[in-house]
Amino acid sequence: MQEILLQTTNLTKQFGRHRAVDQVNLHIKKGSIYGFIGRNGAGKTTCLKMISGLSKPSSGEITLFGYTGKDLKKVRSRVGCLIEAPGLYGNMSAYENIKLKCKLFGIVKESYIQNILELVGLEQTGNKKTKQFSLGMKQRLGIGLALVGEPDLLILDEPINGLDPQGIAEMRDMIQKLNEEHNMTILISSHILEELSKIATDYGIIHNGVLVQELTREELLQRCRERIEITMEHPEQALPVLDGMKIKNYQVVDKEHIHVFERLNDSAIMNMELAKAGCLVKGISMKSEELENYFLNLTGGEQNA
Amino acid sequence: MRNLIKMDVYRMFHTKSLYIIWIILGAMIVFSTFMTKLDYEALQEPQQETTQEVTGETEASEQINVGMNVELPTKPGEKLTVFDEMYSNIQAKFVALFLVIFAVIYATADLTSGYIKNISGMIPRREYMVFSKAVALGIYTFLSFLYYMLVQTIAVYGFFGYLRWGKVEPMFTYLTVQFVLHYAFLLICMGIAIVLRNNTFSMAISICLTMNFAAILYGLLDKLFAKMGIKDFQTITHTVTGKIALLSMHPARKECLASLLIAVLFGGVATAVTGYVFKTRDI
Repeated sequence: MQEILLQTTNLTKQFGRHRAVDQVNLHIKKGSIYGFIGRNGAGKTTCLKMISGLSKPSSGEITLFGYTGKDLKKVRSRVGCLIEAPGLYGNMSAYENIKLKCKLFGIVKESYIQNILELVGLEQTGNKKTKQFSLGMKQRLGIGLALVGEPDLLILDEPINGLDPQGIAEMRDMIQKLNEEHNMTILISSHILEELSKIATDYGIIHNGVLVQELTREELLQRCRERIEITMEHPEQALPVLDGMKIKNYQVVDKEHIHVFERLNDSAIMNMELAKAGCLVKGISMKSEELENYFLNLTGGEQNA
Repeated sequence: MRNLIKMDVYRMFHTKSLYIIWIILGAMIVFSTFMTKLDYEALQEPQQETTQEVTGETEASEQINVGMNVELPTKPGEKLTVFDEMYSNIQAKFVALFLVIFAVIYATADLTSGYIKNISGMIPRREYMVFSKAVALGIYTFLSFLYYMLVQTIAVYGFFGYLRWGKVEPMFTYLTVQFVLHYAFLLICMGIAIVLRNNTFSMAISICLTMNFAAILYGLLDKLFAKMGIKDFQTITHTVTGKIALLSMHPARKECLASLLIAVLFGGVATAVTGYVFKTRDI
């Protein structure tokens, strides 16, 4: 079993009467890219702010690298974050912005700053002030700043917001590179599941401050796969029939549904065989789900999105 | 903490407003010296005309005016000294005005730019971020005083064609106490800016304090104290801005100690409260 790098236990944040984050239990494995999905206002940023130490939880606990409570201070420097918009000094260059944070870590090597700039693709910006940067460049510099001190956990809050398709692709490549080459665990939030699905290895879906589901990439793909969905009252009666048809890749989802993932063109035969065996089939149909729909179904439907 | 200070000092010297404010301060010193030259020349005119003016100025110097009022302590017939010029500008809070503008801009720059989000989570004791800013502002106050003294000296020489320092020992004492008072005032303004998190409000309040607008409030407090039976209590003489305005040219030891005590007390409390608020608040 993979080591859990970050875990939250009943993490809650209350603003007056409004509960922005409600007893969230996250489990983030070392080396994973954890996609934290939720619509605007779902509580993602509040949750990430608490994890990164920018705000205090109203209740609940955060365990980071095995440390919790007051001991968290010992490992806070191992967490780099880019929360909301990148915080930059507009009158300084990219180099100076990074140098400033290097001062905090006592890093004096000039090549260190240059390496970070190269890593985020900003080595050619020279003395250009960051106020003249495009949004994509600012986002990359924000990540560059988060990388100072070589954190083991990188928290990125909606890093692809406002980026054009090329910018999104570049950002994706950079995140994958950091994860693979630098062995960095990455917690990335977004409301665009489609984009996250290209890089994330694990997912947490949050809605109205509540963590609705936590699942791996495999589990998510499984749930969104094309399948035959059989609706019947006693699914267990169908199992010998399916086994008899040498169908192995199926799943009893609940008390009324079976999902079959193979022989997708044989739904009529399946129906006939089930009828022969005396199984009362209420419905049999082909189903597949877009990732986005899956997310919308979990978080209250398209009409609210 | 040492790295934090290094970072804040680096940021301070890379803040454009620092140099803009110094340039404007320099220009205003030159302008103010030119104006005092005109005043000084008027004082040297025939005795009858100037007597009334001198009497008026003497009365004015004993009370605190709302706004900025630069008055020369030079008596008719005396040669103007650099110390005279420094005293008149400092007690009018001419220098303080420029220092607080920078203090507010600097104290909130990391909040308004959002840079604070990159670092504050990583710092084990967040209140240290306030303390390091306080150290940086101390360096800024010191350098600003040096800069002011340099420009003032050059301006006096430029307009008057000679250099007379005045009595060196009282000048040194006066400038040292004023430096501490100005630093304490900057810490108060830094506190206001960080606690309010609003540049406009903080700037307005800081400038009002510099311009003695709080004197109206102090007057009300004095009346309240009088009603409570505490007679002859003047709140303004127990404040940092009051001390900046009222510190005499040749301060006695007791006066210096009282001013330093007020500065340490107000500056210390302001920094401690700001540190506490900053530590407990969400970013």
